[in-house]
Formats: sequence, structure tokens, C-alpha cells
Amino acid sequence: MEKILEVRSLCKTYIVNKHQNNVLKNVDFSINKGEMVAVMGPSGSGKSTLLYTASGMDNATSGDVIFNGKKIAEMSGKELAELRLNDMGFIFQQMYMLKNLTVLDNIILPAVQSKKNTKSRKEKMEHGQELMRRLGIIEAAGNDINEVSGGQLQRACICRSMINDPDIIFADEPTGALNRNASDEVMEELSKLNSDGTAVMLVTHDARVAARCERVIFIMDGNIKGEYSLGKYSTGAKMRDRERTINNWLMEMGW
Amino acid sequence: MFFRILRKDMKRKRTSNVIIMIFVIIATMFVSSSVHNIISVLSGIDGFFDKAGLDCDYIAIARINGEDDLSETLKNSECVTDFKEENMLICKNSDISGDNEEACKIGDNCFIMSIGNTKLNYFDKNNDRISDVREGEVYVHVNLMDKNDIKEGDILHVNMEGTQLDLKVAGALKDALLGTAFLQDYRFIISDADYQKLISSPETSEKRLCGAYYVYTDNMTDLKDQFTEIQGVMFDAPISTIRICYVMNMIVAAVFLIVSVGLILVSFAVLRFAIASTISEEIREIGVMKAVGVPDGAIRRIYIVKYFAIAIVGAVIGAVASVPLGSMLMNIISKEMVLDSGNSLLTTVFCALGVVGVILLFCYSCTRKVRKLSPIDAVRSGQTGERFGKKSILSLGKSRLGTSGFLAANDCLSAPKQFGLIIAIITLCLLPVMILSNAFNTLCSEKLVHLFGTTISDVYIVDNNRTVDIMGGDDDADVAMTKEIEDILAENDMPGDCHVEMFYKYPIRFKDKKSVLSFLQCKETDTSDYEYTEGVPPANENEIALAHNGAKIVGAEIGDTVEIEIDGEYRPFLVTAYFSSLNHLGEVGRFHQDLHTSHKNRSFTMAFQVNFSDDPSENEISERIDRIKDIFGCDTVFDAAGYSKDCTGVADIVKVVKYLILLITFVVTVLIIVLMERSFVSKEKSEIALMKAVGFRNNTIIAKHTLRFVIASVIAAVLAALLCLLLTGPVIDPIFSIMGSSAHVEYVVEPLEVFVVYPLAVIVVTAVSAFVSSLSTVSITASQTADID
Repeated sequence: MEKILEVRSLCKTYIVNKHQNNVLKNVDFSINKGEMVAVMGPSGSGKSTLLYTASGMDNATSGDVIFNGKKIAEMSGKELAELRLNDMGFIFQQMYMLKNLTVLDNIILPAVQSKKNTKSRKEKMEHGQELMRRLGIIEAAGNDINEVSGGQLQRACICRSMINDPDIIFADEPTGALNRNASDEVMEELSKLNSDGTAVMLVTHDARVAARCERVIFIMDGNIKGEYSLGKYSTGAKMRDRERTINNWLMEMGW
Repeated sequence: MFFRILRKDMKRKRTSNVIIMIFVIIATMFVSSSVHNIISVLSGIDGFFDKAGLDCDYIAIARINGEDDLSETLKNSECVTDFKEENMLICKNSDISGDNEEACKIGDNCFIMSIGNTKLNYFDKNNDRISDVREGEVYVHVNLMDKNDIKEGDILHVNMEGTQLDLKVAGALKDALLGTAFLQDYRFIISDADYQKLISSPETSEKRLCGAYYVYTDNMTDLKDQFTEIQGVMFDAPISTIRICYVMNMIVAAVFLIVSVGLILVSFAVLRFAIASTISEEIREIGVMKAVGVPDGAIRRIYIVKYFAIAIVGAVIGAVASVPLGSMLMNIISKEMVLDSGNSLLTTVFCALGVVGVILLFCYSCTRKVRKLSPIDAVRSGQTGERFGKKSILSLGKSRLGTSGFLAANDCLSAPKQFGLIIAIITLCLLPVMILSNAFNTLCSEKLVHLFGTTISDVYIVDNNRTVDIMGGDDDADVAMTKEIEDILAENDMPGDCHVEMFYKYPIRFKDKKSVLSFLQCKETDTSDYEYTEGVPPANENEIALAHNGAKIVGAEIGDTVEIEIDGEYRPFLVTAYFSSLNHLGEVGRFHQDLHTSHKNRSFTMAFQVNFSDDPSENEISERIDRIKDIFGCDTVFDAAGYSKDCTGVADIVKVVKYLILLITFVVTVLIIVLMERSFVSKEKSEIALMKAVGFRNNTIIAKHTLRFVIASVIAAVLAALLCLLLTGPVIDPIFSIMGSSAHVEYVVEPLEVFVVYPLAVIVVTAVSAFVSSLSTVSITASQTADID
């Protein structure tokens, strides 16, 4: 299987008040094209740091992050920005959006900014509307971001992450701020997206969310303690069994 | 506990706290220095006159000779309670020259006086009283020094009626009586010993001796009547007229006053914006405190104590910095005058305390919304819960703008109050520059020439030597002199006609009112050649036109018949027209060219005007002006625009003020843009991080931040340009009206300067300031999206 993301001996150290805090210690893992991977672990284990470092949003102290065969550390700021704009999508726990734009404008903003996306402005808008329709939030297109619910806003964030058809989506606790129903809806959309061929790396505390992933990575104290392969999720799969399996494995791992 | 929260806040929000402190420093500097200036300007002329000892009611300058000694008349007058006299010598243009042997440009009249003869106090450039002048030294009026580029230590050569003196310039002189560019009469002060050398020549004492008389009276009406009978008076006026001669100084001071008030308003507006903006960033913390049960009063106290601490530190620094700023501003407006710097410690402390008080008031009003916030705001202060109204105005999908341009335009439209404030500030700064520019260009154009009672001519020759000769000549001396000039010009291949406007002072009465009025007359022009605001030009020698202020003095209107004392008898004259004039503050009239006037009534001579008969081009006229300067040995030869500039004598001050205000505009713009951008960056950190996270490059973000201010400055420039067209007349007309003009002035607007250069300069300054400040966004990383509160 072709790898989209490869992380080798990744270390991340913060120095606070002359005290060295090793958040990631020689982490190695990889994600294949079209794979959906969950990173789990207790609070402070380094999972969000791993996500941000692996996605090139934060610099590693040492080690390599290789995306589509290219070392991220060797890329210029401009190349990294292009990479994030065209090849990566991001979903955050909080639904960050630009306050002065409508939901639709927030979604199409990366497409308008992208030079690689050669569609016309109108086509980009239609694409944004199409994504919103797919995710069931088309009625909120013209709304300001304070006029929609948290679930709708998070789905809008997913639309934004998909607007330039990225190879991979990084999601940091995408359902962390949502209720159960909204959480299920968002994960359903991410699963659909993944089934269309987009790789997903998500960080979560929730086994129910991780159950939709193909593989789960458990991280603790900055080290990857183990990986568990669940196999590809498909609609109608026995979610309870997958969730129970993950919980059992996590208990075995000491969480 | 509260102090721990406060201490943490001071550390954690260092950037926004520093921004507030800088605003406090600027506000204190501007308020303190501006209040000093306002106090100084308001007490300006009175303070200067008090210091100079110019406390009399009436002023006169008259020649002293055996027959007509004004001092004797004053001694015997019943309406004069007291008077002071300063003897001095009247100078010709050729009397005084510099090191290069070129004659000094000495204005309309110029006098040499000895320090021992002074009855007023005179001051040097540092505003110290001049109590002594050493032999061989001279104090020169500050305007003459500028006009002739004379420096301290230069040598001036005096050659008066055969007596020669070489005098070293000891410094600049400030003179309360003869000290304004508007009056254009100046004095030199020399030592008693040197004065004795000059006056020891019988010719000098006979021809040049005159006196300045400071008259005290308790019956101004009778005194004025009495002066109408006195012959040989060169100048006489109540002290109020001298006060009006400082009108341009006061106008300049008033411009400063307006700028000062503007600066105070701008400082406070920006300060309030900064405080309101920082407090709005703290919604979450306020909500958390409310959620854990901290009462509203205690929460407000935290912010009030915080801003009090910042205000105190900022106010102390600002108060100290205000002293040099205030002095710098005062030095510019007090060139001719001695103004109190007003830099008293008490005023500074009072202003600093005032700023602290205003900040606390702002803080109190801004923290009022603490009461309205609920604990839930703490939870919902993220993107989902903030209580802002509809923001998006433009549609990205439908827009043709690039992302930076779109986001910048959308931000401006989404926060109209915020950007409206920036637009208003830049407009307010740019507008005075544009208005003053129009005023300056008008002062330097042909547009005002008619207001000096002259027609438009090719060349204007201001020759003090020939003027003095005419004044001392017979009834036809003016015509003879113009003929002589025509001949000289013709000999030098510059054929043309020459004429000169003369002023004559004649007693005039209408009904029971008696006064003395100056009348313009030129024997070689026709009264119909001049502009009138109402009525028809005088067509016969028994008809006159009156300037509006002249008509007021006489109390007559068009159609009235007034009586003028000509050759010892009162003759009737019909008032046929009104005209507008800047001569003698508009207190003048015009005689018909055919009326016979006497040399005894001559009071003043304008420039010799030349109209070439061979129709030369503009370039040729310009070359001829240079040649005439050589032929006549004087520098004061002008075209119409140059003559207008020379007559008003204030164009250069207006120019200096214009550039100073432009500088202040740049400084204020830079400060406001830098500080606001820093505040925006701090407030919009989350959005910047998010934009980077979704793939926006630094240059796109910097462009967005820069463009917002550029849009604001472009709108401000357009607004200022429109307002300047509307407001130049209403703002500047009253100034010309004080100087005597009653007609609407047609202003000269230089489109390139007013609509392109200044706006572009402000836009460039704005763009550069915003660009440099927005570079701080580079340090915000995409990963900080996750750190957002």
C-alpha cells in the first residue's frame, strides 16, 4: 500500500522556564493513502502535538515527517502553505471560522485562495454549495457563523477542509464539542469522505469515534505504545463490536 | 487574590497593555502641550503688548521738523492725557546693505532707533528683553533677517546722508508696534553712540528724523478728530488697529489651536477604542469570574485598577515628553511675538491628571457591559457564542476581488464603526493641509491682486528709493517718476506703459460724522479698469468709490453725497460704488483719475506697474524681471502672482504651517495605524492562525491587513478632497474678511497638489505603517489555532 504520510523518529520538546518537556519521543508511524487512522491516548499524552507536527503546522524538534515522499522540514514556508491549502484539510475541536464571512464564504475561501484549483469563482461557489448539500447544511449557506448550530458549523468546517479535494484530512477531536447525534452525523460524513479515497488522521478520546477508523494508534507519555487494526469500516458494520474491541484493547494497553 | 489576577493579566496581555500605555503617553503629550498652547495663544496679543509696555490708546508715526512737531501738538491737546515718544530715523532702501553690497529688502518703511530712545520693551529671539546694544552692533527685526537671509554676526553697512557705519548683527528683534509681516514696517535698534553719529549729520536730522508716539487718551473720538487736522503724519491708528495687524499671527495660532483640539480629540477617540477593544477580548474571563460568583463590582474594580495603573505610568511619561513638544510648536507660531510658553508645572500636572480621569471614565463606561454578561458567555465566547450582529456584507462567491482584497473590504464594511473612526481621523488630519494649500496657492496667485487696489500688470516694481522720492516730491512727482521708468525701460528694449497707485489721506465728513480716509488714485488708469462689488465706477472727478470697511467708517452708502476736504475746503462727492480691498484693512476709497490731489496728502505709494507694449511671452517677462532687478538695483520686482504674495506677506507662514500640519498628519497617521494594527493583530490572532492553518501564506495575510488601512485612507483622501472643495471658502473667507476683503475670493486649487500629492503621501504613509506593523502576523503560527481560548 502506498504511504501518504510517514513519521520517523519524531521528537517534540518544549522548554518552559528552563525545564525541558519531551512531548513526543522518537515516534514512528505511517498512514496509507485512503486510510482512516485514529490517535487515542490520555490527556497530555501528546496526541494533538503529534497531529500538528505530522501535519506540518508545528515544527518537530527532530525526526522526519514525509508527506507524499517529500520531507516537510525541507519545505519553505510558501511550500508548506501551498501544501496545507491544496493537499491537506483541517478540522478542529472548536469550530474556528472567520467572523466576518458567511458560512458559504468561509467554506470556499481556501478554494478562492488556491491557484491549483483552476475552477472559476462561480464553479467554486457551486462546489461549496454541493458539499454543503451533501452534508445537509445547504440552508445555512448565507448565514453568518453565529446563526448556525455547533453541529452545522462543524460540518461546515468539514466542507471547508474538503473544498480543495485534499489527499488527507487532519481532525483534532472533531466531535469534542458536539452532542451525540451531531457527533454521529459528523463522523458519518468523515467516513463517507474516507470511502471516497481521502485519508483521515483524527485525534479522539472517544472509542465510538475511533470505531469508524481502520486503525487505532495508542499514545502515552509521548510514545506510541501500540497500534490496532480494525479493518475498513463500512456502513452497517457492527459499531458496538468495534467499539468494545477498542475499549478492551485500550484497557490492555493500560488506559 | 484580585491583585494576583491583575499581576497575571499585566504579564499575559503585555502587548495590549503596552498599546494602551502608548496611547496614554500620546494623549497626555498632546493634551498637555495643546493646553499650554491654547493658554498661550488666548493670552497672546494682550500678553505680548503687556510685556512690551504697549499700553497706550493711540499710535502715530510722524516726521519731525521745525514747523510740524507732533509732540508739541500732543502736549497742548486737551484730549491727550499722556504720551511717550521714540525718536528714530527713516531709512531708504539704499541706506542699508549687506556684505555683498546689495541693498537690503526693508519693506514699506524702515526705521533706525537707538536703544536709549526706546520707550517700549524689545525682545530678542529667545524672548529676553534687549536692555543694551553695544557700539558697532545692531538688532534687526526677525522678519528682515529672514527676508534678507541675515545671520547673527553678519555685517550690515549703513550709509545715511553721507555718514557710514559698519554694524555687526547682534541678533533678531521682536517689536510689538512694528513687527508684523502684514504691516511690513520694521525697525533696527543700534547703540546710542552709533545713533549720535548718524544724527550728527544736519541733512539726516532735517530729512530723516521722525517719531513714534504712544498716546494715552480718555476721549478717543476727539483725538481722532484732532488727528484729521494734523499734517505730516505718516501713520496713525488706535491700538486696536495694531492688534488687527497681528491677525495673521493669530490665524496661524488659531490653526494651531484647532490642530491641538483635533489632536486631543483624536487621542481620546483612539484611547477609547483601545480600551473598549481590550475589554471586549476579555468576555470569557469576565464570564468565568461571574460563573464562580465574583460580584460585578469586584470584576469592574480589577479592570479599573489595571487601567488606573497603566494611566498613571503613561501620564507621567507623557507629561515629561509634552514639554519639548509644546515648546517646538510654540516656537513656530511665536516668531514675531513673545508668547508665554505656558509650560507651568501646574498645567502639566493638571493635564496629566485630566487624562487619567478621562481614562478611568472610559474604563468605567466600557466595563458597564460586565453587568450584562452572563456566566454562559464564558462557555460560549468561542465562535458559536459571541454576540455579534450580522457581519458579512460582501459575497466572496460573487466578488471579483482577490482573497486579500475581498477580506480587507469585507472587514471594513463589517466593522463600520471601527474603520469609520480611522477614516474620520485621517480625514480630519488631511483636510487642514488641503485647505491651507488652497489658501497658500491663492495667496501666491493673481487672484488677490485686485484686492490690493491694482490692475493686473506684466511687472510690479517695488522701489523704496523712488517711493521716498515721490513722497517728498511735488503734485506731479508720481507721473514724472512713471515717465522716467518708462524711458529707462524703453532704453533697455522693454517698451511699455508705467503707472503707480498712490494713497492720499483726506478728511471726509458725512452728516455729523468726521473722519480721515485713505484714497487710492492712479492718474494713468481709468476707474472702470478696477473691480467693484456693487454700483458703477466713478465717472467724474466729483464721484468716488468706497471699500466696504471705508463706507462703514464714513457711514455712507452708494448714492450718498459725502464731503471731502480738498485744498482747504469741503467739496461734495457722490458715492457710486463699493469695492473689496485688503489695503489698510479695507478702510479705503478710490478717487476718479481726473481729480487733482495734493502731494501734501500723499501717504503711501504702491508698486510701479509696467505693461509692456510689445506683447512679450511669459518667459520673456520672466527674463525682463531679472533685467529690471539689475537696472533698478532692487530685488523686489515681481509678476502679478509674486506681487500678491509680497503684499499679503503671510504666504510663507501659511506654507510653514501647512508643512507642519502635514508632518503632524504623518506622525498621527503612523502612530494610529501602528497602534491600531497591533491591537487588531492581538485581537485577531485566532483568525490569523486559522488562515495559516488552512493554507494562507504570510504575504496574503499581510496584504489583507495592509489593504484594510489603505482602503480606509483612500476613502479618507476622497472625503477630504470633497470637503476641501466645500470648506475652503467658508474657512478662509472670514480670514480675508478680517483683513478687509468683503468679496468672495476665487480660490486657486492645484489639482495635482491637493488631489494627488497629499492624498497619495498619506496613503503611502498609511500603507507603509500598516505593512510594517502587520509583519508581526508572521510570528503567529498555524498551530496556534489550537491554543485559542
